[in-house]
This record gives sequence, structure tokens and C-alpha cells, in this order.
Amino acid sequence: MIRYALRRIIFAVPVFFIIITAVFFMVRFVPGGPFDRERQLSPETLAALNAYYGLDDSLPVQYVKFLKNLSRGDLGPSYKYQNRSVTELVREKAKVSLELGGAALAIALTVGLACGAVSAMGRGRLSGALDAVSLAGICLPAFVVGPVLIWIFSLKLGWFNAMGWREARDIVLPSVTLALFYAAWIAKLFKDSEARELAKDYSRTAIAKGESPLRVAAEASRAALSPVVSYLAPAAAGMLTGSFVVESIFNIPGLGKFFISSALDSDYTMIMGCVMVYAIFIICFNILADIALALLNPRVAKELGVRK
Amino acid sequence: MSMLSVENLKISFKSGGRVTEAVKGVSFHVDKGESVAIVGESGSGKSVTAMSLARLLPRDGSCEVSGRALFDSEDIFQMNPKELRALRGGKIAYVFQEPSTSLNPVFSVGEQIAEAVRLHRPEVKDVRACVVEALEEVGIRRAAERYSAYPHELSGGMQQRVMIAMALSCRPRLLVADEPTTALDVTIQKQIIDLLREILKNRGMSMILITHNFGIIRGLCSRVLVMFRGRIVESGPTEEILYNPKHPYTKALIACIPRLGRSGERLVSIDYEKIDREARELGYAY
Repeated sequence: MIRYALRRIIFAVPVFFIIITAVFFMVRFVPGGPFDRERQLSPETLAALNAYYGLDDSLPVQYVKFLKNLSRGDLGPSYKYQNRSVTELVREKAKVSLELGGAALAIALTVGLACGAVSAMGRGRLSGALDAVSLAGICLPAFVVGPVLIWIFSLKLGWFNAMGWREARDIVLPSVTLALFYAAWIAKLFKDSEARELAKDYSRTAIAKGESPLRVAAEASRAALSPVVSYLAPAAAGMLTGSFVVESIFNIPGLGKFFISSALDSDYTMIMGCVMVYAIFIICFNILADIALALLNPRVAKELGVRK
Repeated sequence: MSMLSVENLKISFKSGGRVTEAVKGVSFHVDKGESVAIVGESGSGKSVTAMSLARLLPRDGSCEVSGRALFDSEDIFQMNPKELRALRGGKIAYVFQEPSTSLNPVFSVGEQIAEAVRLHRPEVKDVRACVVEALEEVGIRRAAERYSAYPHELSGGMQQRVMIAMALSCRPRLLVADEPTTALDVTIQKQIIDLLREILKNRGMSMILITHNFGIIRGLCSRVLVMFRGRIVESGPTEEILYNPKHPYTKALIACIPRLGRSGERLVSIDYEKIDREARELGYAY
């Protein structure tokens, strides 16, 4: 198992470099530069700015410089936010997004798995109602859910602040807003696969053995969790790296906003910072998901060549 | 008093407003230590009859069961969930047709048997040893090693042996084997049948064997019930039914057994119109 994990991590390193290399060149091929949005700059000023940030070098030279700085953990200055380094900005914003995303992930997992399990084991009305709720959760966009939650829980009931990121309770509404979609997907995925497993012959064997319904469901869930785990890799990365919509609605200083704004601003260094954070999360969670799948299912372990 | 006595069992399935009667009033009994075969083709109601004995049919309202099934004078159909759980595996154990799908693919076979032992024999201290013993009893070599094997690592015959070991591990009084050899190679079929025969002899356990194959019941079951379209059309001692079948359907089934040494003979298929005609002439009611 440890050997498998090590192998995966070693293979992830070139993948990571391919991603950042591709992004490095792609953003520079897009028409427009980091200073085009400023008011009309004189050609001299623009040249001076480009020289100051090293943007007048040829692309290969810029790339080598970027790698050199990266090896020291320095992602360079942000072009948009003067006097702030990208490393410092990303660290500061990512902390907020991690807190928010972590809470959302916990909510999504708990609520999603619980609803899915109840819906799969129950039948008739309860099951149908839960299915309808999860479908609604998948369909409702965050920019609808967020304002509705604000209207009910802060404007009408006054339990929470409408927006901001100052007190501990400020995490509740945004994390619920962020979690709802994922919780609904997890519920649907888990319900469908658990129901499928419960209909299989081996679940009948478990009943014929004299097991309680709960025990039968628990044994079936080991196989039923696989689709959920596969989905969790990108879902967790998405939640933990922040959401543009949720951060905008609740005015939260997270990383999500930068994914959009840095691209619009051609803020090259900031784009690289965001992409790297997202790539690391995606790669790590995929490795974790594959390890979890192997632990859940001995057949998968065999295919992956995992030995315990 | 019979160990199991089924009286006027009726089973019907509802789907999309249509009700299908799968079993239309069946009565039979199984004595202690006796082995009874229920023979019939697909759709005759033999499997659902067997499943109903531990209430393994769907409980979502799509299936209706009536009649009585007395096990030691207790009606299985009146049992509460707790009594049912004690009955399942503990008193009536099952071996199913398809061993490859009847075992949970993500747990080792040893763990799956151990679960049954823990449920029904809480007095057993060393569950692992008990499971290894059960595996040895069904002829699995290197049983201690095989304890941690997963179902997909075993052959179909081995998987069925595991199923049998699981069924036997809790010392049930009645074994219900639903087409236990149908999914297996012919050579393996013989081994499994021999194994069942030996176990029945050693344990003095009762068995209901569900099959469509008259060929496998000789020397294994003392009595046969022939089911056709949800009814028992004929019953009696195995030898008598085999050599002197009365009902046209039984005759047709027996005629279907392929025999060695009769080359050139065509395989027989069942002519239902002929059976219906003859059955009416003989005065059998449908």
C-alpha cells in the first residue's frame, strides 16, 4: 500500500510540471497583457512596467526564471495587487477557502451519505421525498440558495450576519450554500449505488444468514461507496479551493474569486498560483481516492497492483 | 409431527396493476432428517416456494404470501423480525444457485462465514477456528489460508463449497438448496451433490433441494414433489416417481433427462399442449 502511494506520488510530479508548463505558455498566448486594463499608458510607461516585471524577456527566458523562483517557493509579484507577492496572497486566501471548503465538505459528506442511506433503505414516500430534495439540491444554483438563506436566516431570523468573514458563525451560511449541491450529488450517487447493491444476490445471502437490515446495508455500502469516493476527488478539490459565486455572495476573502479575476486581468503570476493550488489538490485527492477505492474493494486493489 | 409443514401456500406478485399467481395453494411437509426434492421448470413456482420459507421474498408490497408454514409448530409467516432473524441461518439455511454473485465481493470468505457464526452461535469463543473447521468440512484444502481469500479468487465450485460451509456453520436443522449445481460444470456438479449427500448423512439434517433436473436427485432425496404452474402435480418416493410417473408433466420431465449410451437419440422438448390434453383426460384439475 505504501509502495503504491509512493509510486503514485512520483508519477504525479511530471504531471504537475506538464500542467504548469502548459498553463504558463497558454496564458501568455492569449491576446492582451496584465496592464491593458489600466487607463491608457504611454508606450514608455508600459515598456518600463514590462521591463520591471521581466515581461520583455523572451518566453523561454521567462519560463526558466519562473522555474528558478518556483524552486525557492517564490511565485513572483502580483501584477494587479501591487506590493503583494502571489505566494503571500495565495497563502492568505487559501486559508479562508480551506476553512470554508472543509466545513462544506464535512456537511456534504454527512448529509449526503445519511440522506442516501435512508433513501436507499427506506421505500415509498420517504425515499421519494428525499430523491426529490436531492434533485432540487442539484438543480438549485448557489446564487439562488445563498440569497434565500441570507433572507431567511439573517434578515428574517437574525441568526447570522448577512455577509462578511469576521466571526466564527460567519462560516455557517456560506458553507451550507457551498455544500448543498455536493451533498445532493453524494446523496443521489450513494442512494443509487446502495440500492443497486442491496438488490444483488449477496445482500439476499446476508438476509438469509439472519443479519439485521442495518447490518445488511452496512455490508452493501462497502461496495456502494466506490462511486461516491470517485466523485469526492474532484468535488473536494472544488470545495476546498473556493467558489467564486459563494465568495461573492457572502463577500468572503477566499481564493475562489482569484480563479476568475486573475484570468480576466491576465495577472500571469496569480493565474499560476491558482492553477498550482488547484492542480495539487486534484492530484492529491485523486491519489487518495484511488487508495480508498483499493481499500474498499480487493478487486480494484488487485487491478492496481496494490499489495497489503 | 413434521418438522416443517406447509399448508395451502399461495404466493402472488403484483406489478403494474397485474397480479401473477406464482404459487397456487401448495401443501407439503418435511420430516426430521428427511431430504425432499422440489422438481419443476423455470416459472413453476419452486424457487419462490423455497424463498418464502425464510421470508426472503421482496417485502415492498409487490409480493403477497398466504397460507401457513409451520416450523416446529411455529408459523413462519407470523414471526416478528427478531424471530425471523433467529430462524434465518440459525434454523433454516440457504444455498443459492449462483455462488459467484451470492457472496459479497468485498469481504473475505472467512469473514462472511464468521459473521454467520457470530450471529447464531454467540457461545463460540474462537470464531476463526470454527470457520476454518467449517471450510475443512466442505472439502476445502488449506482452509486456514483460504479464510482470507476473496470470492473472486476462488473457482465456482469452491465458491459453492463456501456457501455450503456458511449454511452449515450455524448448525441449521433444514438446508434449502436452490439449484445449487445449476451454475457449475458437470464434473463439479457431481462433487457438490456427493458433498451434500455426505453432509446429510453425517448430520441427520433435513434438506429441501430445488431443481429442474431429475438426474441429480437419485440417491440424494428420498421424496420428490413435482411442481408445475404453481401447483404440486405429483409427489411420492423418488424411485417410484422416477420409474412409475403418473402425471404427464412428470413423464415429460423424466423423458428430458439425457442418457449416456443412447447415441442418435434426439433430446426431447416438452409439449405443453399434449400435457394439458392428457392431464385433463386423466382428470387432473388446473
